[in-house]
Amino acid sequence: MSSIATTGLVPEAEATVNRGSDWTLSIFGAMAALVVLLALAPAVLDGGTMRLMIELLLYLSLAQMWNLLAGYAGLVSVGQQAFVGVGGYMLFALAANAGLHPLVALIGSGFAGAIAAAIIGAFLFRLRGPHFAIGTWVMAEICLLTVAVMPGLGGGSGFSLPVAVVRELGTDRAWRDSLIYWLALGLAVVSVAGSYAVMRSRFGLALLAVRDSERAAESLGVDSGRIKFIVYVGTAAMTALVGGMIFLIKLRMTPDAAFSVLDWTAYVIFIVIIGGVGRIEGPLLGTLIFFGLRSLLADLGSVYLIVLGCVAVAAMIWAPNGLWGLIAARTGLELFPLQHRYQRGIGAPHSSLNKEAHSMQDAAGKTISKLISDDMAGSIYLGRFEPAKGGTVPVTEKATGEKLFVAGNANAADVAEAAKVAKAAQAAWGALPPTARGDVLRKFAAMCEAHMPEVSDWIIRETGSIPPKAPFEIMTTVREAIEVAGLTGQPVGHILSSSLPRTSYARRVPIGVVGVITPWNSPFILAARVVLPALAMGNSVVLKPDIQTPVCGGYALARLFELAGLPAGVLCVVPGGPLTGEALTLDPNIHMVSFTGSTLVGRRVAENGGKTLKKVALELGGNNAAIIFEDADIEKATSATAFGSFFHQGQICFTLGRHLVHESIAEAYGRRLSERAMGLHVGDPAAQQVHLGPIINEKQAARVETLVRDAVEKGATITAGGARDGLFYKPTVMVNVTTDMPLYKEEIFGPVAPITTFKTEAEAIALANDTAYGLASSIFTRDQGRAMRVARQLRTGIVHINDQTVNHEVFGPIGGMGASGNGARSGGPSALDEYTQWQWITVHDEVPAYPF
Amino acid sequence: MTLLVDILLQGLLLGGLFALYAAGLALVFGVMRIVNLAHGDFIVLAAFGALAVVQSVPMHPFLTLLIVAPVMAAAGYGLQAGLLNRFVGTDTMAPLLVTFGISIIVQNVLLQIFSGDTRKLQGGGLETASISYGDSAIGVYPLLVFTVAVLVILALQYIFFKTPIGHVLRATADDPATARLMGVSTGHVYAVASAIAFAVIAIVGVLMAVRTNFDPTTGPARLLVAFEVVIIGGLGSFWGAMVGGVILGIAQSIGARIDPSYQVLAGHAVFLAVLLLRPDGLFPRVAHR
Repeated sequence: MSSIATTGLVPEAEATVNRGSDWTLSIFGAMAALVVLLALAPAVLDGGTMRLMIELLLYLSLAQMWNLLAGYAGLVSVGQQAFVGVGGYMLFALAANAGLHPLVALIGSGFAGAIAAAIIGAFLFRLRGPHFAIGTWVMAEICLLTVAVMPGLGGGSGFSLPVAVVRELGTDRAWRDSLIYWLALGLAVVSVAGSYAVMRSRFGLALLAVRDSERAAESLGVDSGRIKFIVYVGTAAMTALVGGMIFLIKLRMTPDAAFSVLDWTAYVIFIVIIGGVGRIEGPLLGTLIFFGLRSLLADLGSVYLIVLGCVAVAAMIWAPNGLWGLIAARTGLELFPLQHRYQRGIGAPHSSLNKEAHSMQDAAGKTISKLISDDMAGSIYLGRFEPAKGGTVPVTEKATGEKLFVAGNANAADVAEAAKVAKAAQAAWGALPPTARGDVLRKFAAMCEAHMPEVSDWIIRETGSIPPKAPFEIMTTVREAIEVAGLTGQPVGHILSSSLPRTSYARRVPIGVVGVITPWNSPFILAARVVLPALAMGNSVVLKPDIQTPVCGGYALARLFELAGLPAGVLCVVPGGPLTGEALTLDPNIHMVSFTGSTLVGRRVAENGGKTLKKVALELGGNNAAIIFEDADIEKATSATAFGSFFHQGQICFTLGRHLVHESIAEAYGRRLSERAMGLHVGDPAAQQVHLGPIINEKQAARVETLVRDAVEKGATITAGGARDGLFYKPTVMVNVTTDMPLYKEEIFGPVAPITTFKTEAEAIALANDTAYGLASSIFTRDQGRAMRVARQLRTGIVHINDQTVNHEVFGPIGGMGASGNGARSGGPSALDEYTQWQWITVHDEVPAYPF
Repeated sequence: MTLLVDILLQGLLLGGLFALYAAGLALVFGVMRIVNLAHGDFIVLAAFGALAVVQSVPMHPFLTLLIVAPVMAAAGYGLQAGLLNRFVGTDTMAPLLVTFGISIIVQNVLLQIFSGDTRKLQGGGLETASISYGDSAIGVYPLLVFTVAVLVILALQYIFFKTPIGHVLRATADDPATARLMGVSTGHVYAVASAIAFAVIAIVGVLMAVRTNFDPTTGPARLLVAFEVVIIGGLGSFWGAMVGGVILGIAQSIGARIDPSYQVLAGHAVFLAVLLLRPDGLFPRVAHR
């Protein structure tokens, strides 16, 4: 693994190339032409079509504002009718009661909306999330009721605009219609272009940051409350302007019509959802679809609304990014390109995952069959693929959220059956000559190499790993297989001394059925490194890969062993979640459980193993420290430790979670590490060259964010990163991290490098040992004597001197102390001890005499 | 003096109904962290359900609960398991917009089936009976509703704190990930919580149908009342809903004495005051961890 760090296997990231400016210019040229054409339309359109166009343009403005509010600022409002109504009433009051020109009154509408929003916001910004939404509705109701008791505004029965006021706009009706049409067109252009301009500005970037992660944005100095308030007031002003326009056309208003939740909010929300939330193109497309549907179905009355509601609910379920989201995902088309910090999900599908291709060519051009095919969907593997009784679970590409495959979700019955099958197959497998077992393992190694491109693809997409890590995982597995195959020929026991005239010997025998539970971070190698030695020693295996990564962690291994000629039933695969694991750890036909994963779940596994008297081998989390002494080479050390903390997004049990740096070099070290962190690129590893891919799921990403946030609150400082875009977390460096912070005490499992300083060697050792975990540690110094002295005093299963902690090699006994494991080791000759048990046999020629 | 006592008493009894409006909303939010914008429409749906039963087999409206409550509970289970579970724990926007869509669908389906006419169920004289004390009188029906509200809240309190499913519900609400590790099927638990909430919705729907007029579009008003009650009472306990309901009831009853058109507005004013002075409500949620 350390070779990756030094040989530059990690690609230099290329700058993300947006579409050329030619493309953008031609799109904008076309739009400008469209606007000019629309502006000329009154010359040819009749009155009815004009009024429809006006309504369409006004709805477009309303939708664009709601989109800015909810899609970008995350303020889901169901009370925008408050501002439509306030705008309308202000227009009537200023034009009819105060005698102003209607166009001047219209400006007053906008101001009224802003003032109303400032007052309403003062109340509602105390509420969070869903409560804010429903609060907006209450506020709209309060506006309605208030207007209804104001006799000056017509009270509950309504208010008409005198004809004289309307005449001020022009005496000719057609001219008035044209004027209003141009106003509506102007508002629509302003709202679309304005939204776009806002989103391209620094303010827009801050707004996106707040939407993605309010906490991270605030850590970076963005005042999210203020930003949201500005958006709320701004969109309200625009909404009120549109409201003024609406009632300037209708000429009559009642409180119920002015503050109608259906007309001014529900329709608008439907438009945005159907078109696509959080995209400027969404409301454009949505408005066209909405008016299209309306012209088709409007005669049906309430049936139309039922259809509309169903379409919107369906869109939220199956197309949460709306129709435009679907179009953009298919074509990559963006009418309004924003400078995304990360481009996601637009990369071309990788060839070998192409559903049509059932076979592919290896490097020599020979056609080989594909490992994974659709007919394995929803299955468990019991020597052949069978449907899981426990149902199915979709497997997603972590970077894009796109569905890759459907896995079987094994239930307790599936596990029990697998254990029975494995138990039945074990006797014959264990009785095979060792050379026969070794042959299968060597053939497996060959199969891994032959299918490397396909397995790599799955590893990259299913786990979010960067491309160089996948072949590394596979090649390590290949070496492991060859090495372990050699162990099958090792001596299988001892001839023992005996004080009696007998032959006394001890021989190793298989344990029986080994249950293997593996995690999602490096599912292929972490399963292989247990399954291979267990099989080599004559055991059969029931493998439970994590349900988030069942293909490379389970199905692929099953297929490779099948091709290697492993007898049916010796390896069973039951993908599943916690309930599956629970069943496996309690199954009476399973004799040993090997678990790789979190300490929390490890305790549960050990508890169940205790109940059912299984041998339990645990390889758990770590909170690994690097000690950087004052004489270390900062340039080289930071290169190594950056890799240790950020490789695979820090989601490795060996990940370097604590940087203990001598106070005399701490500042220089922190600065160099931060520079390195800021130079790393984050994104979809299948679509572009990046150093870091996505965090496995939202929960983990949120956890990392919480730990960082909490440390900042307790006094630590972020010097690099600290922000995330969905699952993409930027490599983060933090200084002034103290031992009382959870960031220091807990396993982070994210790309965060916390720096803590020490003064003396004794203090450094004490700090490094100040954790319940004890997996790996590392020491950077030019003084080898000191390094060895310190290493002997560290309570970890692994110590690397002048290297970082993420190291895996076939020959080393790998495992942890303390909360990192229960003494289990994997790698090399440890397989003999881990996966066999002793049998003592004595042989007398004659039965000895006894005094009974 | 008598006037004051009278106003307070009316408000108190009205608060019982409001607390019932809020109980289901509070339960769903407490366990799933979802605000169901169709909550009010489901109350009206239950009322129409009772109406449909009474129209086909004449019986006392309260007896319809034997049919309406299980049907609503089943609907609640199905809605949660089939649709809303996929949104639990995601961002706040999706569940809001989906339930908002459901609200529009429910209103218009009711409109299509029952037309927009205003309806009311006949409680067999129960709703006009009154008990007099001194110079004034209190209605038997509001007293009954208040009693039911107290009983429902006691029952919810019992379910949540004294029964095995209650323990599972609270555990899942506090930490769904750990609950799953302990073998809890959280999807099922959410659906059960939803079923309980819908059973309460059925009860309040029928009680409302006898007390006041309703039509397919009156759901949102119920939702807003329920929401104000929850915010005033805080998210601490079901008793918070009771207290919030009573405060809102008393505010409305005072407003109505000043001028009938101020009744609802006075309730909103109290809501705004609480929002300004105690944004976490009067009984804020206490962290369990």
